[in-house]
Amino acid sequence: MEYLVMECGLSYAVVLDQEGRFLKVPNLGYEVGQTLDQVILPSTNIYTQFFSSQFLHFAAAVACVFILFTSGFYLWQSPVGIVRMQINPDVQMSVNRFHRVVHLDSLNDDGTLLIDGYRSYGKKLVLVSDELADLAVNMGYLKDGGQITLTIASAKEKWKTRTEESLIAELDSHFHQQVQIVTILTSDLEKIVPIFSSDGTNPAPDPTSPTPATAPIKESTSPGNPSVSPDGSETPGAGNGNQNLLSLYQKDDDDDHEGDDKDDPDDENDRDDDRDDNDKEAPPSPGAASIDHDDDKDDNEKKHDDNDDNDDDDKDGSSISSSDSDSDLKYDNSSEEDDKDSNHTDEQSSDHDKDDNESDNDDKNDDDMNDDDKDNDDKDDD
Amino acid sequence: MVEQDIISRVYAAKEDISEADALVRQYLPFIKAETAKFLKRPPMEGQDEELGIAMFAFHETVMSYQRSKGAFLPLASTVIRNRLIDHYRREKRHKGLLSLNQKVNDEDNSPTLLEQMDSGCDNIASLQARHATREEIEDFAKQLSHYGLKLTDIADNCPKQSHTLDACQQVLKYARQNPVLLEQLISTGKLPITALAKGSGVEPKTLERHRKYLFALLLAFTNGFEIIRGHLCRISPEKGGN
Repeated sequence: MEYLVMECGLSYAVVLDQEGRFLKVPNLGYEVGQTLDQVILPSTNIYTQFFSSQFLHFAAAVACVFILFTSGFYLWQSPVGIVRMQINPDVQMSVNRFHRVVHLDSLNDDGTLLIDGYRSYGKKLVLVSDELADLAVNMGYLKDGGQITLTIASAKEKWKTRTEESLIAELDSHFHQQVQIVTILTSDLEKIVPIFSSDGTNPAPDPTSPTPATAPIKESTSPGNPSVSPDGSETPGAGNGNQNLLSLYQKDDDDDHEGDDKDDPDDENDRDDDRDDNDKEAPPSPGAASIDHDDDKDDNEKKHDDNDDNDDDDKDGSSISSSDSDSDLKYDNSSEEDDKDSNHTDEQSSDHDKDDNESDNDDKNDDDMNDDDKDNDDKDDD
Repeated sequence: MVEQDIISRVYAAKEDISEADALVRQYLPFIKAETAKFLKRPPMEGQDEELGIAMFAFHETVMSYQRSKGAFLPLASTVIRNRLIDHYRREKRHKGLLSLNQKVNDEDNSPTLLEQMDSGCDNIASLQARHATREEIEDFAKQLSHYGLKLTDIADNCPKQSHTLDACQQVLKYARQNPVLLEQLISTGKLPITALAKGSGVEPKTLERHRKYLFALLLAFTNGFEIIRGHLCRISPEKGGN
């Protein structure tokens, strides 16, 4: 491109390029009529350039940092699952994708006492569960032979499985298998997320609907593995555990709207009922755990006969039992036929397993844990 | 000089380009000082491009200054520094090259490289061509001033976006196909916006915005400005006038 110098001032020159543009450029000793191969083309407006080169770059950098920070905070703060820990104190831990506890809440009075003054935010889930169990031991809620029920709720199956494995391994190693650990897996993420929603909508299902708590669990029942609890005491079993979770959501929602509590005494009563249920379902002693399931045993006498074949397999007296809301027994290998059995059947079979254990244990003189189990069953029979 | 006086002179210079040049001349020591800060040495007038760039930066500041956005001299200093930084970055790739103004040897009376080099062109012929071009340009500027226009005004009114430039070239093409419009332009001294917009299909608003530029461009394509028309070879394949 050639430029024809049209006018020269002291500091500027007007040049005409070959496309017909008239340009004002710095006069570097040009003369009118001179043809130039190259000129220093004018930049943008001085104010525009100032803002584009400095302020805008700085603003863009700040915006990037802000976006990174907020997205990172959102990732950190968003729970991917909830772990409910029932000893007699009933607490719930919301866990983010980094396996860190971002929210700890109590579900009964003992739970409130347990977590009073305890700071869990940002700690690893396994560490918090250990420390809470230690606190429970120190406060007398948990003794040797006691039971911890863990309800793990998440929409992510892999997360539930990994969390369950890590928690069982951690608590077992922490208590040297002196404590029974029962795990329940559920997928009610829809009920988990609204806890943290800012709009305060009630995530709990319609209380008038029939058995709202058990429905999602039955839906997610997996025929893959039968749920056979070695001790037969499926404390807050799938249904009850979920019911308590629902009551938790109701409670959490009520906490967010304290004013509503006063206006609606029914909610208050519901919460009290839930707390009572929690107290029953999460007894300090393992023996009280299966009280609620006596009726289930009677109803399913016939079904349990089908599982007698598997009784021998369940004699191991393991202190670990795992029952999924999908009726999964994580540490038991059973036939496909049994996979299709309902929760009640599984519970019944577990009870009979326990009976068999009782007779077998007379001969074997197993460890203390099995003795405790036997005692529990005796109480249940009573 | 008091700040208020500077501002009043700057606002006067916005209206009159010669006043702007006078202001640049008056503040030449300031401009040289700012350039020296950047170069870490005093600039040599007539040799250092940086001084010309700094002077043009000062001129730009004068033409764009707004009283509401702060004091004038600090802004001028910032603009000069920014323009010199831009120039330095642009010319960084040529670092290590010899200057044509460099002397052949260290003696004081030694000739420069430029004086000893054979440029390869006929200087006398080019001087004559430049003289003819200058006369034509002066005639062109004279005709423009006859219609109340200056080349600096036209440069300020020149389209910056390529699509606007294309639209203006489309108008020029239509005018060249209709010499009556060019004659009408000379006789009336007004741009026939309605006819040009209708014929070229360009929005009348676009023509109105670049009225001064289009007037100068169409004037260049009337009779008598062969050298300028010859220079505008990239506007259309047709060289020369109508």
